[in-house]
Amino acid sequence: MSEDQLKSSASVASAVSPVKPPPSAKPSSGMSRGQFLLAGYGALAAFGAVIAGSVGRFFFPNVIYEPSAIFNAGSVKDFNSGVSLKWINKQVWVVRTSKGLYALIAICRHLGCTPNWFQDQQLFKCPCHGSVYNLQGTIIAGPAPRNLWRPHLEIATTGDLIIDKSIVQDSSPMRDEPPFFLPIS
Amino acid sequence: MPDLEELKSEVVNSQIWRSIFRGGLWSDTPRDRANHMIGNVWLHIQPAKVRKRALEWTYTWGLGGISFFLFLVLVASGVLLMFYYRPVPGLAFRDIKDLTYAVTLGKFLRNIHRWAAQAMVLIVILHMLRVFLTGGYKRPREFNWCVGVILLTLTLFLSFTGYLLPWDQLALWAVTVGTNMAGATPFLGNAGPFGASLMHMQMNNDIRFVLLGGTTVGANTLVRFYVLHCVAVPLLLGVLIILHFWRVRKDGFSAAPYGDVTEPKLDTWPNLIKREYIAAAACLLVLMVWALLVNAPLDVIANPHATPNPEKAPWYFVGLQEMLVYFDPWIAGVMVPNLIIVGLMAIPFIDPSPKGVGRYAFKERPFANTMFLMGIIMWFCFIFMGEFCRGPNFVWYWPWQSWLMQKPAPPPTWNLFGPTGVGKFPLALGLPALGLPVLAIMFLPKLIQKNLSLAKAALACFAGFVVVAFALRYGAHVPLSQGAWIVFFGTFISFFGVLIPQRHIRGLDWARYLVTMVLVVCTMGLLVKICARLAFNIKYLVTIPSVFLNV
Ligand code: HEM
Ligand code: FES
Repeated sequence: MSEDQLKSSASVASAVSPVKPPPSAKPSSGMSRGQFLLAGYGALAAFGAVIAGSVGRFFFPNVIYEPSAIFNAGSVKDFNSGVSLKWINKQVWVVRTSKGLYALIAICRHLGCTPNWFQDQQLFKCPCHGSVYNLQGTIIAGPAPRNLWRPHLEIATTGDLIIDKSIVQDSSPMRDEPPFFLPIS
Repeated sequence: MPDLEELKSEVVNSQIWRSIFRGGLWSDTPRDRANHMIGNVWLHIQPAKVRKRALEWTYTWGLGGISFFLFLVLVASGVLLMFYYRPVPGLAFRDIKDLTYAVTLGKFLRNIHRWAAQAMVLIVILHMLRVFLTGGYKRPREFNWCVGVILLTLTLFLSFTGYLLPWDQLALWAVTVGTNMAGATPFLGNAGPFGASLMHMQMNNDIRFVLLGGTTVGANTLVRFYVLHCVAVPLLLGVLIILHFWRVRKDGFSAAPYGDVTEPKLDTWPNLIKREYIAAAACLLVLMVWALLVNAPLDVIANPHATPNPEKAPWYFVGLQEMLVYFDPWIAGVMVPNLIIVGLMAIPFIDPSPKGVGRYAFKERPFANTMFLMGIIMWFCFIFMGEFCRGPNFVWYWPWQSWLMQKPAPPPTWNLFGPTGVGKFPLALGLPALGLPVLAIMFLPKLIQKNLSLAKAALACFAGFVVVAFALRYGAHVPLSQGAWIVFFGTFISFFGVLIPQRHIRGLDWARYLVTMVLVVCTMGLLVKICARLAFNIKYLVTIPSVFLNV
C-alpha cells in the first residue's frame, strides 16, 4: 500500500468512526459539505433552467403555414374614386382620391377587429370598442392608439397593383409618399 | 314482501359490500360513521366531525362545494363532447354543428357544458365574496386565499380557451381581441410599450405569437387552445382544488361556534355529506332544466374578414371590454387584470386585523367590507355598461334605445396634456396636474389625524365640487351637465378614496397603508378616466407618444 492510499483509507476510517472530528477539521477534498451541496443545487438549477428554456423555445413554431403577405390586386385602372371593398378578403381596402391611390389594412390598430366602412359618414368604425378612423386611416375617436396601417404598393409592368402587407407605414408624412401612396391622377 | 331495512342491512353487511367499503359490520355507531369518513379515499379529505355552524346554509351557502360540483359536471360533459370534436378549422365548426343537430344527446351535453361553465364563473366569484365577508382569508388562511385567487384566474382562463373551440364568429373575434391584448404586454408584446423599440418584439417572436402559434388566430391556435382547455388547465385546476381542500381542512374551517367553544361537533357522515348531496342534486336539476330550455349559442362559421357588429365578449369579460374603451390595451388588458390578481392576493397581508373571522361582521370591519363590495359592484357596473349600453360600433345606446337608429359620427376626441394635446407639455404640466391629486389621495388620509364626521365631510366635498362646477360654468363656459359629472365623480372619489380610508386605516403602519392606498388610487383612477371620456370626450389625460405612455 502506498502512503497516499494509506492516508485516504485512514480518513475514510475517521469519517465512519463514531467519534466526531472537531468542527474545524476540513474533509480532505477541500470542499465543505455546504459548498458541495451548493454546487449540487446550483447544477440542478442550471439543468432545470436549460430544460425550461428549451421547452419555452419549443412553443415558438419554426415553420408557420400562413397566406403570403403579397398579392396582385388587379389593374390599377379598375379602382374608381372612393373606397373599394374588393380585397376585403385579403383584409385590405383600396382608396382612390383625386390626388392618388393608397391602401389601408382592414385591421383595427386597437385589438385587431375588422372595422366597417360607412359611406354616408366617410368613416371606418370598429365594432369591438368603437374606434373611428377617417378616410386617410387616421384615428379620430375611440381607443385605438395608432392610425391604420398603409401597405407597400407597387405597379407591375402589366399595370397591376401589387400590395405587400409585410411592409407598412402609419404616420405622416411617410404614409403620403411612395411606396405607401401612389400619386396618380 | 321483504322488509326494506332487513334488505339494506343484508346488502351493507354482505362480503362484497364490506370488501368495497372498509370496516366491520355496519351498526351506525359514531365510531362507524367516523370510520366511514376516514376509511374512504374520496371522503377522507373531509374531517370526521364538523362544527354545527359549518353546516349552516347561511354561512357558506354551499358555494365552494357547488363550484367543485360544477367542475365535475364540466369534466364529465367535456370528455363526452371530445369524442366527436376535432380541433381543426375546417372540421371544428362542423363537428359542433353535428353535435348540436345530429348526435343523440349532443345538444343537451353542449348546453350543459356551456351553462355549467358560465355558472361556475359566477359561483366562484360569489364564493370569493362569501369568504371575504366572513373574514375567511385571515391568518392562518392567507395561503389558501391566494390558492383561491389562482383558482379564479384559472376558471376564467378555462372559459376563455373553451370559447375558441366552436370556431364560430363569437369564438374567433373574442379570441382575436383577447390574444391581441397579450401583444400589448409591456416589453414582451410587439404592440406594447418598449416591446418593439427595446426588446425587438415582432409579430413573429413575441408572447402573442407563442399563445397563437402563428401571427393570426389560425389552425395552430385552435390546437393550442384545445390542449390547454381539455388537458393542461383542467389538470392544473384539479390539482389546485385538491390543495385548496387540504388547506381548508388543515387551516381549520373558519366557522366558529357561537360563544360556546366546548360545543360538541357533529358527525360529518351523514350531516355534511347529506347537505352536499342536496346541493349537488339541486344544482344538477337547475342545470338540466336550463339546458333543456336554453340552447348554447352558435354563430355562423368564423370569418376572419368580418367582425360581428357589435362584437361582445362573454359576460364575465365584458367589464374588461368596457375598460378597453377608455384605456390603452396595455393598461386595460394587461395592467388592470394583473393588478386585480395581485391586489386580491395582497388582501390577507395588508389587513392585519384579526377581527370578524367566522361571521358576517360588517360593523367590525367596515373598511374592508366597504372597499371590497365597492370594487365588486363597480366591476358589475362595468359589465352592465358593456352588456346593455353598447350598440352597433360599440357606441353608447341606452337599453331602451333601438339599435336600428344610427347615431351620428362621434366628435373627435382630444388630449389634455401632451405634444398633441391642449396643455402642450406632458412632463412640465401634466405630471404635476395629475400627480398632485394622486399624492393627495395617497397621503391625506394618514396625514389628517382628526376624527372627522363622515357625513359632514362628505357634504363639504360635495359643496366644494358644486362650487367648482359653477366656477367652470361662469369662468370657462363648461356646461352644467358636464359640471354634474365632476360633482358626482369628485364626491364619490373623495368619499371612497379619502374619507373612508381617513376614518378607518389612518392608524395602519406605513407599508400596509401605502399598498392599500396604491390599490385605492388605481381603482379611483379608473373612474377619473371614465368620467374624462364620457363627459369630456378626452382620449388621454397625459400622452408622451415617444415612449408610448398614454394615460
Ligand atoms: C375552482 C374554484 C373553487 C373551488 C372548487 C373552491 C372550493 C372550496 C370549498 C369546497 C371550500 C369549503 C367551504 C365552502 O364551501 O365555502 C372552500 C373554502 C375556501 N375557499 Fe374556495 N374554492 C374555489 C375558489 C376560491 C376562490 C376564488 C377563493 C378566494 C379568492 C377561495 C378561497 C377560499 C378560502 C380562503 C376558504 C377557507 C374559508 C374558510 O375557512 O371559511 N376559493 N373553497
Ligand atoms: S379592436 Fe377596434 S376598437 Fe378595439
